[in-house]
Amino acid sequence: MTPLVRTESLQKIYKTGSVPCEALKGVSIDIAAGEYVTVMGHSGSGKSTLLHLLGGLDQPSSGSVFVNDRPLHRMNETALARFRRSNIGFVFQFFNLIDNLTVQGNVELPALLAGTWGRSRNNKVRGRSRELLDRLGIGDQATKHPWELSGGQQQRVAIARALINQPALLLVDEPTGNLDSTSSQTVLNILSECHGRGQTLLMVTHDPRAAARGERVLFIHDGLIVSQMSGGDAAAAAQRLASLK
Amino acid sequence: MTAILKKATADILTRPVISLLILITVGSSAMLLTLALATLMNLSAPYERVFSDLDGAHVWLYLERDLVGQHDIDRIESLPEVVNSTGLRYYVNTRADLRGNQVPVGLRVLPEETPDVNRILLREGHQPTHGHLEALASTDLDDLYKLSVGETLGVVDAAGDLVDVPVVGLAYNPTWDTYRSDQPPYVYVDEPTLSELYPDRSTWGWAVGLRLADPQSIDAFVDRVETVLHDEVVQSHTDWRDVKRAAVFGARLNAVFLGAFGLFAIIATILVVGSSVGSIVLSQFRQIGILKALGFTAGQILSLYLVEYTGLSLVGSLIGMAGGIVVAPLPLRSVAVSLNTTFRPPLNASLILLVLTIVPGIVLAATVGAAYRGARANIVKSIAVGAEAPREQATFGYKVASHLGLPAVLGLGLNDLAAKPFRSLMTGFNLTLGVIGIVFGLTLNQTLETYRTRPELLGLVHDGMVTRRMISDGKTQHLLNQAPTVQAYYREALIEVETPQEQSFKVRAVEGDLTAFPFQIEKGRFFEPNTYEAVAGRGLLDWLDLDVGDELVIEFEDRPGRRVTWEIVGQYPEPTDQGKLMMVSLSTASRWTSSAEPDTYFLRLSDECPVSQLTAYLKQNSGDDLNLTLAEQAIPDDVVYLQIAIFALGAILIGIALVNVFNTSLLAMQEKTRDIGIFKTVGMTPAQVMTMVNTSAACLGLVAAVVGVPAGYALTKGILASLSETYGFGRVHVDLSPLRVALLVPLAVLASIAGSILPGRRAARLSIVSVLRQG
Repeated sequence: MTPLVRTESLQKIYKTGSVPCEALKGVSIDIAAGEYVTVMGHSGSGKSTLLHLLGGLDQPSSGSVFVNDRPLHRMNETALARFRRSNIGFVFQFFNLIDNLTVQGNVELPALLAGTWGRSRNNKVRGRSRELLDRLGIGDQATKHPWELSGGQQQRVAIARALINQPALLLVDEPTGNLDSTSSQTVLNILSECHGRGQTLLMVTHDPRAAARGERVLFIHDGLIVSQMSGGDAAAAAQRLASLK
Repeated sequence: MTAILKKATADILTRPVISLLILITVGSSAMLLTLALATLMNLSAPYERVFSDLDGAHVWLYLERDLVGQHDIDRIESLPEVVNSTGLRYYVNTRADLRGNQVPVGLRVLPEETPDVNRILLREGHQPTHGHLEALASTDLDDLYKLSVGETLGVVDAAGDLVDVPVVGLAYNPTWDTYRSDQPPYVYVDEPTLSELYPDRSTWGWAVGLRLADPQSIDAFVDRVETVLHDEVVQSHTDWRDVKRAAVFGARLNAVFLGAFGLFAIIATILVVGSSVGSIVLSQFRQIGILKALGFTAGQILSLYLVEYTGLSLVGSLIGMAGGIVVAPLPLRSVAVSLNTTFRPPLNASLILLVLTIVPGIVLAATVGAAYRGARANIVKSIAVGAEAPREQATFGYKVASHLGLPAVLGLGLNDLAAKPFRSLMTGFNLTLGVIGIVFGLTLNQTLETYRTRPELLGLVHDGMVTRRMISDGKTQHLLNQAPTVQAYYREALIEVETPQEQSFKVRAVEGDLTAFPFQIEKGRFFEPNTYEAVAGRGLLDWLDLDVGDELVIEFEDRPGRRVTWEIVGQYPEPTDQGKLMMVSLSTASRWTSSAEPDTYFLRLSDECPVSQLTAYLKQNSGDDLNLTLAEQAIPDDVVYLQIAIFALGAILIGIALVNVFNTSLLAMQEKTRDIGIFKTVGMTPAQVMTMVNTSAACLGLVAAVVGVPAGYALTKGILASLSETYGFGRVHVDLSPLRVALLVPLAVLASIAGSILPGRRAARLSIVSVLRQG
């Protein structure tokens, strides 16, 4: 069966100043549909770069990225934007919500960008966003603005936004980095629940407990995938991470 | 202080976009202010300026040739009151044929060398080459008869023959009185040319122009000359104060419009600079918060921004002012021509000082205001949310768009306007000012066109005018009754009258086919012939504090003491003498005065026959005694220059407004970098980003048009109404085509979008990853 996500010798070089920085040095990974994969690594290891390339937020210097059999490395910016809307959801460490939209407005945004006009269509989107917010336990916050919510609530809004278009792939970047332990647990439980419903997830984290939630943990160091292990064992993940230094 | 200077320098160099924004804003505002101040400078005392620059003669004496000799001229010039003199100047009053019309002209000898007194201002072409049969015509001939350089005047010589004299230039004379008909318009020739045309020098008139130690004592001086020489020596004289009054009055229209425009531009400058700089500083609230967190005091924060922005504003002001000085001649030469004055270059100390004080002053005031606010703000909040915390009202646009089922990007664009209401208001206001300026120009232009096509609105109801000299009224009427192309005519005698309160004015005593002429009666009705009814100009009514329905008692000049009462039954647009005339029945007036001898005949002409037939007919039947003048309906040149100047200034105003749109959009994009990154992450395409940016700009343009068009129309109407009152004119028919109004709306929207295209493209090309890495 064709993997949902496939990369081949993915390389990314950043040219900052006179010294180029090779963030990824040739990464080849596969992620099957419905799989929950976490990527662990220290700061500067290239994990966020990998996530950006898998999500079509950036273009590789060389190599290829396929998501749902679509070659992201060959798409222009407009095609990537359209692809992202419908196929990829993002959850970030700092939530990245739009302050001057309500919670519901934030959640609906990708869906409204994706479709054509029309009040009936907008009503359908509204209904779906309500459903998602209720499912994530923040239905009563729909009319509030992000700055009025706690960190955990904001992250749940971000998750709802990421799921509104029922994307094939959910990319999550350090979702608990900015949360207290209780909120972190809540968010991780939500993500596990999404996986339980068949959602394909890739999470980037340096938190072993978060990483252990995945079915498979990949370890990235200096721009290369150096090892992997099965998920479920946070302590083992922490040990493996420490050994990368 | 070192830390502050280092930080300020680093800020300027490492944030080139912000620095450039400030330089562009300050520079363009300084340029506009320079132009506005230069305009006001050129409007200031235009007649006095040109009179002084040309060393105009305070008095011209026209002397009885038979009673004076050269020694008398010497005696006049040596009087203690006289500071300087033109010396003896020769002239001959005659007629010239201009395109089949016989026009009165005064041939004047142009001295070979530039005189010390009463120089003339060359407007077009060149002076006649000495020894050549050429003429330099006064600009009054252009104003009255649309004479152009290159045309030929058929000057009547001593033998009565027409001699073709090419016009090689047009020049302005600061001492030709527009409103008095004592002298005809001048045509300057050299002495050999005058000798050729009029060989007998004893027929040449003598005149001398003098500058006096006391320019106000003209009457006393003339009396002194007559005392010293002879009672009847001075045939007539021109008093420079009368010319000044006429010139000032004539230029008032232009001065009011341009003055209003200048003030407009100054207000726009203040608003643009104030709002832009204030917004820029406010956008750096987060930085201010971080600086405070690092240990900067409030005073140091203020000092930092003052140093930064003072430096930028001085540089920007210098650049903008230099640009304004370079560009100024383009509109301002037109202003000078429209005011019949010399062009005053803007490169002078007062203007430079004003610009370098006002613009940096506004920048500093805006900076201090915003920086003070930042210095006092809570550190945590500043870092977290900046100057303006997100507002609930900011979602209004998005909600409306969503409710209407419009694309999300349009709603997001509307949201941007609500998110920064003060900045949006200021930008919109600046755009509105630009639209008002354009509407001002368009309305003026169209109103003038209306008056051109419907001259009866100006009180010009005739197609041509015939004046007679020796031939009798009866013979003239007989000829006109038989004349080809004459459909109808009425005759007029212009009679001096006085009220019992010794207020003098003139009365048009008319009779003939009056119903064939489209007299515009703005109030009341036209008078009935053979009655003691009258219609009056608005100026007369205002002056005498009368209204339609009132009675007016007058005495005819030649019958003092015999009072006649007229009932004013209507008001009409009187184009001359500030509207201070009245029209009555000639037959009624004839019963009270012997001056009611008509010498002017106003004609309605048929289109079927060429006017040349009428000219030929009159010449054949009356020789040169009957003179035909066609009513030239073209807009005088000075108004054309006024239009040019106003449109140029309007375009500059729009340009400044567009710079403000650009600044606002770019600033908004700077602040929204994070949001744009998020939008692009969730799937907004580059085209959608541009649409979002352009939506904000388009809304501003739409509001500017919706507000600016009626405001501009109302402003123009108000100014014209006030001017018509000054002119004693009556109701002004202000016109603005609905089509042009309709076109202005999309044009304003498009122009505003044009100002936001570059910031939009910049936003569309933003790297998502760079934004996300900044957090």
